[in-house]
Amino acid sequence: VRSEAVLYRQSRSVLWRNVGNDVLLATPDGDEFDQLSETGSTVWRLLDQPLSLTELVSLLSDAYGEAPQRIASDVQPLLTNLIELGSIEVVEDGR
Amino acid sequence: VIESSDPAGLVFRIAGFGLPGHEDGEEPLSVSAESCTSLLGFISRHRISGLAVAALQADWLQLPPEYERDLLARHREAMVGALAIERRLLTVADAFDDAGVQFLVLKGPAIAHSIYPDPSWREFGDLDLLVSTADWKRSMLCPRGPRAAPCSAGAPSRFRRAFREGHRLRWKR
Repeated sequence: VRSEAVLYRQSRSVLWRNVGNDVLLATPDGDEFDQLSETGSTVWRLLDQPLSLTELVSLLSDAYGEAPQRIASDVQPLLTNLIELGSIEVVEDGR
Repeated sequence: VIESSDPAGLVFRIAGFGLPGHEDGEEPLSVSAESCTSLLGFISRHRISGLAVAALQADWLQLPPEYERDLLARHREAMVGALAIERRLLTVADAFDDAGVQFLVLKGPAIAHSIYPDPSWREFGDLDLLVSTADWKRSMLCPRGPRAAPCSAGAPSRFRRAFREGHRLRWKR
């Protein structure tokens, strides 16, 4: 998860909807729904395009005016969780 | 800002949100608390919570805070229904592909993803599929096809709903 050789992006198969500032996620094979609050939703929307962890943290740091270290410590568990749920996928950085 | 106490009339104006020319010709709406309960009932009945939330986010529709929360809760319910139907659509589509059944998706999901700027603006409560007469019997016999489990957002007990709200991060704007 921490390697810069990988990028994160929204899983192509996940279904989702905006609900105000929040996002509802539904993986195709599950029967549950996950709700991301405003900040989690921002992460989700940014991952519309593949981003490295450093790029993601940098964008969030600029947007929220928080130190990158603090952002990173919050974002890493969220990414791990969303990968486990199948909502985010990891791709190799071929750029 | 127009203040209105005519919920039925307001629904028509909200339904026009996002149409071409809307930005130029429509004054923002401010709805009193007295009218909100009735208005939200109309919004749910006419399945336009997505348009109402979009109008809210654009500051074109103004509701008292407690009714904003009510509208968002209604919209979330509506979107759970839409996502459940799209899940079912994926299963049926796989089953039809396996059986060689050609089909078209009509109305709700198709329109939500092709016409609207954001599919969250479009509610739908069922799944309409067009299958050729020649494929009709075969489509009905698919193990994971439409007959395996009826598909309607109007039957919420068919769907186990578990919201995880644990993804709250500590920083905010």
